[in-house]
Amino acid sequence: MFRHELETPGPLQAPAGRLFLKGWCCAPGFDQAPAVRLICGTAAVAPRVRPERVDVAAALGLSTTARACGFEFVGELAPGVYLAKLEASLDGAAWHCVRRFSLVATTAPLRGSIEYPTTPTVGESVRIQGWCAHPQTRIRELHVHYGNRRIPCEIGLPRTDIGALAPTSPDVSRAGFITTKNIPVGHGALRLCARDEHGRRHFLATDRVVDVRTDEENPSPLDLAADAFRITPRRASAETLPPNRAARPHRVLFALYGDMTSNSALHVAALANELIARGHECIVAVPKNADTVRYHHGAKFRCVDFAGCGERAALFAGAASPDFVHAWTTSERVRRFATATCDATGARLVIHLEDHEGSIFAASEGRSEEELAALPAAALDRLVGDDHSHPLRRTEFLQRADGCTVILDRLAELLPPGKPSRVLWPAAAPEFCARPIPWPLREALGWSRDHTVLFYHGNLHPTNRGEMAELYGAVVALNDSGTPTTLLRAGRDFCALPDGLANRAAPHVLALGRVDRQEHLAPLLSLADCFVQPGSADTFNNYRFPSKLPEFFASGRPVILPRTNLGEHLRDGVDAVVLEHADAAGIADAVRRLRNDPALAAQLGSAAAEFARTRFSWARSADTLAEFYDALLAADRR
Amino acid sequence: MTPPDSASAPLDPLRRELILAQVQLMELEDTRDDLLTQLAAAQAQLAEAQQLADNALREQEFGASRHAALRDEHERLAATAAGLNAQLADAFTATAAQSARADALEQQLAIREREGAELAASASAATSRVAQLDAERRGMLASRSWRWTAPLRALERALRRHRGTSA
Repeated sequence: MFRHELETPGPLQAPAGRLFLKGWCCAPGFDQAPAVRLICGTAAVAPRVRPERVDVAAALGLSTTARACGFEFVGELAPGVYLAKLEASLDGAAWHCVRRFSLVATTAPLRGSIEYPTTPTVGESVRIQGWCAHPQTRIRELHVHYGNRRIPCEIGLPRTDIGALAPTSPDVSRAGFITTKNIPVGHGALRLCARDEHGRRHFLATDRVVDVRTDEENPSPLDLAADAFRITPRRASAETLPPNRAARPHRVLFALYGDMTSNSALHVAALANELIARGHECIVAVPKNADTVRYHHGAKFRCVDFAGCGERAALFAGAASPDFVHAWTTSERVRRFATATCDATGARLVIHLEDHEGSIFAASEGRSEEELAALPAAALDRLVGDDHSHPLRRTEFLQRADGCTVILDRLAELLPPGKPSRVLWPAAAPEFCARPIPWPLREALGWSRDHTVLFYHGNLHPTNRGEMAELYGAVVALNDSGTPTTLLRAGRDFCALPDGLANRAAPHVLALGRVDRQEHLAPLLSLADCFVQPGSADTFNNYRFPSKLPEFFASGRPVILPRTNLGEHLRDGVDAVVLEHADAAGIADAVRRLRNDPALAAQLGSAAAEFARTRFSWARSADTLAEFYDALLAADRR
Repeated sequence: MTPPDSASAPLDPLRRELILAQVQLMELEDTRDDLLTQLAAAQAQLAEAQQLADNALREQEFGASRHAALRDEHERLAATAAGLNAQLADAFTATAAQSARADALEQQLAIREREGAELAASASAATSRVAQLDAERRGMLASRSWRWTAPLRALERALRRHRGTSA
């Protein structure tokens, strides 16, 4: 009997509760257009207008008197999801549903106004007054916001003049408010933030700006209207081509010794992401706290606890087990997990070395490696625990591996003879890139252009305590000798510096604590004039690759470092300042040299960025790793 | 020993706050970006859900109209079936009568058939007897005595004719 069409594009929504619905409905064969109405929940909405639809009449052969078959519904709806009905009637008594559809109404906007002060800019510390109401719900709490300020308000003050402005509001007669106190110093656009009876928050941008420079606690004017200091750009914008897809994708289970907050996790995460981009399947297993993967923004891999891997680590697509278990170092915890998984699945074992673990264990125990190896088995097991690498079992573990990866070429000396291996240099995340020094921020911090700023991100722990002491000592020495220097330090302290050095250095060290996300560190590095990696060639340093070095180089500042590990690959005065001993005196001398020779500092900054660009790349390291996996499989087939 | 820098030490907390504000801004921007992504995804999901709901409603309406049409058709067919059932009942009744009649006729037929068979058997026996008698007759007619007595029979016939004529 009825024909109709809804002409408002679907899905039908009422943004901010405002309904608009257009269409037509007719009854061919009848001399009049049927009445229509919209049913939303319990409410029946009548059309605002019934326009004539000549086009519909012509198409359907309607009589002249039946042309007014168009309709437009306009109204306000409470927020919610409705099962709406379009109904039609020829006599106004019997209604027929001609169409049902969903209708989503979002919350109506908050309404209100600031009435005191009356000026567009609020320049004095006073109590702000006005009214605020929501058309659909009762307000339980109200704050005014400006800048970083959030000031509570008294609400429910009687008003008799709001009826025309918010007629449907439950608060229409008590919509007045006033801040509970004089607003304090601050700057910014003034907004109202209301919490309603359902706990929802509603915001209203007013036409006022707050620029209060003094208050009871700040009698001297503060200029808070100045531009905010920002270090930009934050994200690397360089577009890179997608890598080639692997001809034979591998399933790789990385077994990490700690959770995803460790430096090694950055390396594993970067390699896993790159391998996944090439079509490989990667899962990272950690002893516990797999949820720490949240610190790796945009991680493409899955992270699981060791316990969650099950016996066969059948976590890959199709409940498949891994082709490779890549054990990240030889700590006992990793060795046991990797060995058990390889035994159960037949996966090939690859072991990654990033330190001389024997010497680290020996240093931590204060004995030689030989002494430790000669201990009774039970005593040695107790000392090693889960976290260290077992002097004897490590050898068996390495012997068993199908291949090894090392972070530094020299670590290959520790592998069994003939063991296939590849060197995987770490790289920096793309956020670490050369940025100019943000001078406005530096100056706001009180560090003028003759002030030297060093940046070091890393924890202080017993293993690097001596080197950190040299760095702190250098900062003290520089300040003592009239070279004002500040060390910006991110990271945590797991031990104390020796001989009260911390107290002497305290005035010159600004400790920022731990920064959760590595990419957030990157812009902060631009505050520095140069970077320092303290230390000297020794058993510890010769076999490690300080993971912050790629980040230092990528940041485009001169780098001061000892002639060991990466230092052995650099030219002094060309790529970096390479010291035989990066101790306090050497570091202080190098900083002074850079301070006194801006041209050299600029040249070394450019050289550092160039070295990072050409030598540090996770993409290249991932290509090397994928090729290594291929080679190990090919060797198996032979 | 380096004396504490009394001028800068009080500023350090502010410096730290200013630097960490950079980190907090980045964290807030990350959160904002995440929320914008989530909002866009939620809005897309809402639109998709609404679309699905509308499709379901349309299908439900189509199903309802189809159901009504089928119900009408069912009712029409039910009426037709009722008529046909009545006709069928009549036909059954007629068929039953015819069937009874057929049974009676079959019984009569059987009787007739049995009688026929008996008659056929009698006829067959008679035929055999006729053939036997015919053979006997032919034997008799062919016998020497019959031939030898032929004149006597002819004389007898003549006598009969003569008696008949004279009477």
